Amino acid sequence: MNDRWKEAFDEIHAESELKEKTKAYLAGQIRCRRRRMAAMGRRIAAAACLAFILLAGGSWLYLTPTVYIAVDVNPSLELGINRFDRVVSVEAYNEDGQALASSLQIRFMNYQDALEEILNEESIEILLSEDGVLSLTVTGDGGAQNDEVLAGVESCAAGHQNVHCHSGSSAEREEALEAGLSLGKYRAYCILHELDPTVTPDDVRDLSMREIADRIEALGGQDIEWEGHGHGHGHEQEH
Amino acid sequence: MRSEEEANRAVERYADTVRRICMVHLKNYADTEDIFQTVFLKYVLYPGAFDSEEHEKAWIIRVTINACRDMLRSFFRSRTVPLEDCEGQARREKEDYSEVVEAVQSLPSKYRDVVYLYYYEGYGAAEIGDILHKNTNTIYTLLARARKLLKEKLEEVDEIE
Repeated sequence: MNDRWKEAFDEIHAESELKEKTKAYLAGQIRCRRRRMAAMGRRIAAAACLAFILLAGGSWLYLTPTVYIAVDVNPSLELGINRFDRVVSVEAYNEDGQALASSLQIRFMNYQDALEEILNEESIEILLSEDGVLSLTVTGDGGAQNDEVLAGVESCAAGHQNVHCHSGSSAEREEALEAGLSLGKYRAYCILHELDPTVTPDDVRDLSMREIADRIEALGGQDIEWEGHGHGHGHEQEH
Repeated sequence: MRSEEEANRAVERYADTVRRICMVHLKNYADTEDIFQTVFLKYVLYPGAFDSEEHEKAWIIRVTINACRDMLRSFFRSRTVPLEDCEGQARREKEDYSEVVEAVQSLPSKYRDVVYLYYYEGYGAAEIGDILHKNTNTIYTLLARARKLLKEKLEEVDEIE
């Protein structure tokens, strides 16, 4: 490089004032942007928390059953219904119930549609036509949804023979769960147990409702409530 | 984003280079201040890493040249006259730099960067092509034309060559 060029441009330097002014400007920009980034980070974190809370809360609201419908023939099932009248859980209480549950795709279906699916299932239709008895027991916390679901269940049952609807309390359902039975069958078991204290929940778990009713009758017990109702529907509110 | 310490280090290291490029292109001090702020803020915000000091310096030079060009092209600038030009009192660029600098300043803008980078910074034509995003042959052509113009402006042109 030619010395003359070097000398000429070497004369040019950034003024101290210019450098200090630039440094001050950059310091201000860096602090301001860091504050903005921190504020943005806080906003993003808050939004993420809110989204998580909404998602978790929404999932909880949607996936938590508020009403249960126990379905007892021989297959014993319990459907958990959420506050939006959708089936969110299907619990089987015996082997037949397990087989029935796995043959149905009723999760997230409206409970009335789900019940129609169950009642129209071939094995259920055969049982009912052969004088089998199907018990539908609605339990919940006794709110308005309880009554609405019971009315909906009764409306489904109205088109079928030997289907009986009841309502029960949450406490009674808890007792049934402890015994490992669905509520409809637990009620029948309680009647039978009064007549024959040697009977255990295991003895009735795989019996059909008709078989339990026949044993009650053989022991001289009263007809349990569905007897003589045909395709009617008995109500037995217990709280 | 780079730290305040990194920003200060860059200002100390490259302020003279940026100032010289501003001198080649700009006529008033206020514009130079704007260019300083623009170039070093871009440096602070640049997310990439530099392979070496040479790489960093070349990046600063390219950004400064682009910032000067943008300023000269800007709508506002093309339609306004700086206040200091009107009042004749404000600070102006020194006019007592050597005739070499003045000769470079008098060249058409497309030749100024090439001449500065070649003669003062000592870059080769290929490196200048990389910095200015131009073909190497174009750089040679620009250099040849700039030399011819400088010959007319400088008496001792043989020394330049």
